[in-house]
Amino acid sequence: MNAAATQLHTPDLTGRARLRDLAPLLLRGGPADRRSRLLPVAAFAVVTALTLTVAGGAEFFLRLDEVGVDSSYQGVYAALACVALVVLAVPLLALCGSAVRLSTRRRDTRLSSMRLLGAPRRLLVRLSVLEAGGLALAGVLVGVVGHLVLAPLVGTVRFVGGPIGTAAVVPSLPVAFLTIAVLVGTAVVAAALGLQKVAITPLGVRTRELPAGAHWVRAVVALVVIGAISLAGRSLGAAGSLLVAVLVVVGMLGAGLAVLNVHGPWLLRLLSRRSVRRGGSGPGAVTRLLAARTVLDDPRAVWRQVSGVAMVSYVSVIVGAGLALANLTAAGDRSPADVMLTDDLRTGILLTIAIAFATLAASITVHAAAEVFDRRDLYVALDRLGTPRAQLERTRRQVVLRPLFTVCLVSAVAGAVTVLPLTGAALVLDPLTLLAVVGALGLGLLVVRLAVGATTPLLRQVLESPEPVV
Amino acid sequence: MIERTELKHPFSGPPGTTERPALCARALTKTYGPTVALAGVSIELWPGEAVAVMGASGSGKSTLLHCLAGVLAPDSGAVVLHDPRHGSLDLAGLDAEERAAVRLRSFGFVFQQGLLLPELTAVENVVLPLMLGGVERRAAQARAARWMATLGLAGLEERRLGQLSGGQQQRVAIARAQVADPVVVFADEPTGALDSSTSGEVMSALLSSTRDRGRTLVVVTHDPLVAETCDRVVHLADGLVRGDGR
Ligand SMILES: Nc1ncnc2c1ncn2[C@@H]1O[C@H](COP(=O)(O)OP(=O)(O)O)[C@@H](O)[C@H]1O
Ligand SMILES: [Mg+2]
Repeated sequence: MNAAATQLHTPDLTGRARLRDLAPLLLRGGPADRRSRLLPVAAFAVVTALTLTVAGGAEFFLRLDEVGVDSSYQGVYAALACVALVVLAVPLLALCGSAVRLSTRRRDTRLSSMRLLGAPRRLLVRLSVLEAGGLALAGVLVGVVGHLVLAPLVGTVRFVGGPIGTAAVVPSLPVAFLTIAVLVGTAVVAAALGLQKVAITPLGVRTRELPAGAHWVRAVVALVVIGAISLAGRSLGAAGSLLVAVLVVVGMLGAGLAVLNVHGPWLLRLLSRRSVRRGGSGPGAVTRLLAARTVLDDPRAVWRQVSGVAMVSYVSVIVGAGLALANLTAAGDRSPADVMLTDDLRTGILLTIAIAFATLAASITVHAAAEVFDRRDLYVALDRLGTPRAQLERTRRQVVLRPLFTVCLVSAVAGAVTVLPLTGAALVLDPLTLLAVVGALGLGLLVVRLAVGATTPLLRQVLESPEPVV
Repeated sequence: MIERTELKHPFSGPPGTTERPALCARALTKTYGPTVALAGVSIELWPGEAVAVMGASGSGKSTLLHCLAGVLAPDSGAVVLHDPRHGSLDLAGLDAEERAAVRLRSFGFVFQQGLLLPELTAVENVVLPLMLGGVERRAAQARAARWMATLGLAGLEERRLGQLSGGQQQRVAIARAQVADPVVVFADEPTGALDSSTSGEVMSALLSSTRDRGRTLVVVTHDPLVAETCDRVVHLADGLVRGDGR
């Protein structure tokens, strides 16, 4: 032993850790980190661009008096804009959630090592907030630019009798700042709350939540709630004005979506458990087992991914049925304003579905990319065992597509049940519209499949240069 | 905060006395659901002593280490630390935040995987405990570099962990465990992933930087050769001490 070191005095460790010194060290990340940090930034950018566009559009509909729309219709437009906002909030929040999860991904092991060394909790919270906030802010800035670039394109969409124009798509400054503040705030709060949940154990033992038993009571509660919404909708909708009807629809959507969100993870768990137990042989069985295990590992995370589709499928069935009836009943004597409203309604629905799919595609791409990094060890191990790449790809697709398909079906049925007489009538009188809805959902599934496929190069890259595990 | 929770414990006395164990655990128990990991372990660890903890897999070695080190809180029992610089206190009575503070100023850790941060360079890993204690970066770096040189890591400061061998990584971990001059260093299977000659080098680095400087070393190990280099071997079975000898 070198005498010099032995004679070093004991350092004074009673000071406060300096965030200023530690942050650059701990937030810098390794080369692999830096690469994967592009993902959350990209996700935040897409969220921002889309949210600003949606906010700008909603604002446009809330200020129609400036455009010279008949005042008796302004309420209807405002209410419809609110429906679109509610509907789009789900996939946008899901994407925002993915972005946050991505930005805090590598964090847990790093923080638990720091905790073992004795880092105070306050410091760890600050570090995570700084990291998530910084990534969110970077993404938001890119997103603002993206929004401004896209605005002229979205401005060509026709509403209230003509193209709405670029100005209508760009939100006012206060709304824009509010939107940005909400996005960055969400990222920061979610990062801090996520930290709370990890509970920063110094051992890095992330004791996983024991899966709650799949209780039949949940299924009953879901059915009762959907039934109640449906009944309430029918009795109120028959009595009130169009505005009341629209508000009822908003309420129904909100409640229905809430039910879906509560039961989604449970449903996925139930189905994956059955899948795990099913057995069988051959590559198909292996793929199924791996996919089901991955879902069981964190049904909530998988649900977050597919919940956007659940929402789209639930809403589009309801709205599709409504539209089918509107086409039929209003075919006779309609005022020009009524015709305009029906046209705008259709445009609005298509636009909403398009934005929802865009959000979903972004969310799935980002998530699938993150999965490649997160499950690097699994994929490398499978690869070393001699698993064909094609099968790895199939597994990755199944993790998303199987739950997606199920969820799509269940939500569509739930939507149909919520407005039962409407769907029945629509199915008989105007099957084309409902077919169009089903077609749109099929398109959504295709988009998702492509989104997963888009991350294949990342998997190849990981398999060809697996990082040394320290 | 630590000062406030200081206990008037039967084992405690005025700071500065050396004729007392560095760590003294009494009747420690810890269960995980139905699993009894520790069923009442008592143990004393003295300054200048290297203690090997052995036992079958699942016998509670890691749990004991974690309880002694204030990483886990035992279900019952006491863990009295005597740090000549800070006096005595019972870790079992501290909350998670206070135990973290004790770990920072009194303990060092070397685990099988080192628990080093792969994102950082070797020297950055070593400075972490100092910087967490508020030491300024440059001063911390200088001190870290001296410890690294002592452990034969001169010239490797700027390497990333992926660019170091297993033995070098463990020596980085030892440097990090030593840099703040802890009273007790805890090592959980520090040589578990190493070949026998590298394992010997790592052990002698550990011993010379702890026991030989009057500090305490606790090593959990499966390796009889590693245990042989220690002054004392404690055998655990089913969460109880079944043997304690020199
Ligand atoms: N976080 C935990 N949750 C549940 N059981 C645990 C946990 N940690 C350890 N155990 C159990 O406690 C017992 C002792 O574990 P451990 O102290 O790790 O043993 P050793 O290090 O001697 O192999 C084992 O039966 C182990 O399964
Ligand atoms: Mg162990």
